[in-house]
Amino acid sequence: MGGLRICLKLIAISVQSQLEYRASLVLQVLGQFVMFLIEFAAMAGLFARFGSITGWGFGQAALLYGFADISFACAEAASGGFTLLEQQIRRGDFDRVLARPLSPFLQTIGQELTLRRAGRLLMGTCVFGWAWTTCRPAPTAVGLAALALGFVGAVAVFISVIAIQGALAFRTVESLEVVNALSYGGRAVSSYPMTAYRGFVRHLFLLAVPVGCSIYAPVCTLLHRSPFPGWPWWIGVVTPLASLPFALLAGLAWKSGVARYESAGG
Amino acid sequence: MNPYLALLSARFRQGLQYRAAAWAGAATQVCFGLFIISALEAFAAARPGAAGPFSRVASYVWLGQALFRLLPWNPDPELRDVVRLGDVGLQLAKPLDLYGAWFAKALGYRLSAATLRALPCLLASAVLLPLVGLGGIALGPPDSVLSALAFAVALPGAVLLSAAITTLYPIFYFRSVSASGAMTIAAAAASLCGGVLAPLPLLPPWMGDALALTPFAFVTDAPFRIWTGMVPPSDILRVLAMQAAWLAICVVLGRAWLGRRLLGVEIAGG
Amino acid sequence: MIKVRDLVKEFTVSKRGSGLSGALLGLGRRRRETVRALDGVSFDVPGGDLVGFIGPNGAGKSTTIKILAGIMRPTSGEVQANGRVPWKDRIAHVRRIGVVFGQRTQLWWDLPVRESFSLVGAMYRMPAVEVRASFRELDEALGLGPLLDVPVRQLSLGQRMRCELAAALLPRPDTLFLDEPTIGLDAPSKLAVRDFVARINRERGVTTLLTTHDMDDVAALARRVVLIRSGQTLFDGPLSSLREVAREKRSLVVDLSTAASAQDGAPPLEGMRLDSIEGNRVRWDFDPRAVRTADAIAAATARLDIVDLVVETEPVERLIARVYGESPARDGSR
Repeated sequence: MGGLRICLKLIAISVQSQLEYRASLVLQVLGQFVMFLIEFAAMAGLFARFGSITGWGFGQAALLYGFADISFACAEAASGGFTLLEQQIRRGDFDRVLARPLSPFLQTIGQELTLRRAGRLLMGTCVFGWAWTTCRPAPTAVGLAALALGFVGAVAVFISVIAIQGALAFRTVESLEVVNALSYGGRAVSSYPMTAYRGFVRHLFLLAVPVGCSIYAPVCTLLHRSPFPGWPWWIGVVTPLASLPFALLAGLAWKSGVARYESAGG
Repeated sequence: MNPYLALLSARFRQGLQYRAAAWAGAATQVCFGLFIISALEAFAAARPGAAGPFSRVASYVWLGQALFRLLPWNPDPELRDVVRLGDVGLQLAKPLDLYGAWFAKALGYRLSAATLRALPCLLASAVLLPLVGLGGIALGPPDSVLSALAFAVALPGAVLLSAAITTLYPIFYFRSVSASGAMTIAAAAASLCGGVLAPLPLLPPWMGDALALTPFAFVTDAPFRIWTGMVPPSDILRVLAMQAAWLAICVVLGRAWLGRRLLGVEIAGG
Repeated sequence: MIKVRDLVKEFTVSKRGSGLSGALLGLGRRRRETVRALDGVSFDVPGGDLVGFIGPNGAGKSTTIKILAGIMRPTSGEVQANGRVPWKDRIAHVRRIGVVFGQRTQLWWDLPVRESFSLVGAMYRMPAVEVRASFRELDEALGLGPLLDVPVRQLSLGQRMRCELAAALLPRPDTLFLDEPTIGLDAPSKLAVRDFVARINRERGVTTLLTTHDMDDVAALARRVVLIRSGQTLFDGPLSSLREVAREKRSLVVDLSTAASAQDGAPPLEGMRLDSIEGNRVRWDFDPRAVRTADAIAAATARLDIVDLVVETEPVERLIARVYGESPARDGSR
């Protein structure tokens, strides 16, 4: 499809121009790596004092932490264009997007693949790798499939949240921060098992913004654990599908946002 | 009117503009507070007694969320660009003590940012939560009259300290390419030592006690401990004294550093 | 062919108070006002025409262009552009038009110009052969060669505007929308832009709609002018008609060999009026329909010892201001 090809070309250009400032990029990535290391240290401290959380030890929780970081980092990198959107709209630069014969969604995605998110990706991979050697989960086909599908599902949910945040920028230039409770909040909540949380938190991140369906449940499947009392251990292969309706919702929100911009002007 | 107060007031008013963002920000903080407290509850259940009375922990977390903007993460954004773009020369042309001016602006920025978020967040965590039956994890009142009085001293001290710390950042920015990375790390350190990533009293003693000595810990951790009564009355004076000491150190260091840097600018040209 | 009927556009604007109490109180209330940017605009543009839209700031010119370009939806009214409704079939519509916004760029800011053209070619699904051919024509007209490897952000305004025009015309659109294309340009660049736009319209028959503040643009380019104020069209017709309608005045300015006296200032012909005497210079105004310019010159030359002489037409701004002044707006304001 022609549009997708142009989108990929735009992404390639974005990567190229970021690589021109290689020194700065490396420093930013390192800075972020240290930042996430410090955050992980806080979690480690809590486990040192309390030992476990609803029957999950440090190593197992680290699996969740690493997996969440990896998915979130990929989603952050892919949706770099949406964070630029707010500024674009304020400056009236979005008119140019509408004046081009390519869907505004593809243009926004194509605008940037944020390479500096690699800091979180690196950190997440290290934590996940360490956690894997600590827990030594038996790598069954079902478990690995659950991880793969969970990754896709988690990235889809996170990108959808960020896209919704971008779509909100069409309506108001100010209240976008609330959505951080879903994106960064969703990431933070995924560091610990869903069973640790009170009812309303669980319902939020399993039903409304189904991050738990793509991170917690698949990791449970990998560990051959039942995610909730009475649920089969393999359910993590199926739960990532919950991301689909949410992604659809995000698509609708985006279309509605663009229509609103067209009515209200720059 | 005193020019420094004028700068402060102007910066404060400017910061207050972003009111819708304030409500949204407060809502975000409330959500995060609920998530964090919920997770800490599960931790506390795993080793009963290790956390102490949980209502204190909850109050500590809520204070952290309400006063989140107090964290010394960044200098006044205007300042950063000024230094990076080399407009320091212009700044010197104004008849003001440069450190004083920067400090006043940083203070105004911190105050407006913190005030905007704090009020709705405090309202939600102290009043709203008990109304919806979550009184057990709501923000509770100060532990005692002494705690309240001490907090009344510690909070302004914390604001001043935060301004002093953040005023140090642009002084470091001079000709610094790696600023962005360093700022990220500084922000993370401020969060960790400030007890926002994990309440310091909930970390293993060797970790918590060490972090509690840093200047960052006296912006957010120390005042919260005073409020919730985690600091025994005999220790309160020592804590306040240490806060004042760090404030003095940061200001003296800042002035000295800036003075040396400016000397360099005057000789080499802005 | 572009048809516009009864175009109406309303915006809601919110306002808040000022000062400290306003800032804090603003933590609650806001006033909303409705602004009627377009109040029933209608016109037709036959294919191949070049139309200039003029009017004061906020008159609705840019809003009209945005709606015609398909990037804004009107509150009510109809637009047909080559058989399509711009905002409904936006991508199909946009594929056949070129847009230049004077103050903002359509190009990719950090990339060399060459890459922008390449991306435009890709976005408009142009085969490489066509891109090369089209580019060659534009290069010949605009001299883009030395600019190709320069990042757009490093171009001067004049250079950038040449590239914007080229990028807009690369896909060979049949309609061109220009929103303040000469704003901020120096004189030679303005001339270059005007020449190019006139040439493109003449040689390729590209329907061109142009909004501008610069009356010289209008005078140089637009055979037809649409005057918009407060969202309404006050005038739609040839520029010469505008001069008629506005009862254009001309000025005869003479420099004498010695200082001019009051007697020298007496109008040489009836129907001429003395405007000013400054040192050696005398200025008279007259209506070119009442007094023939040639007769005025002859009369003045016969009577006075003239070193130099010039006939000035009234600046178009003054004409337009007079048209505004004479047509009360619907809301009774002037």
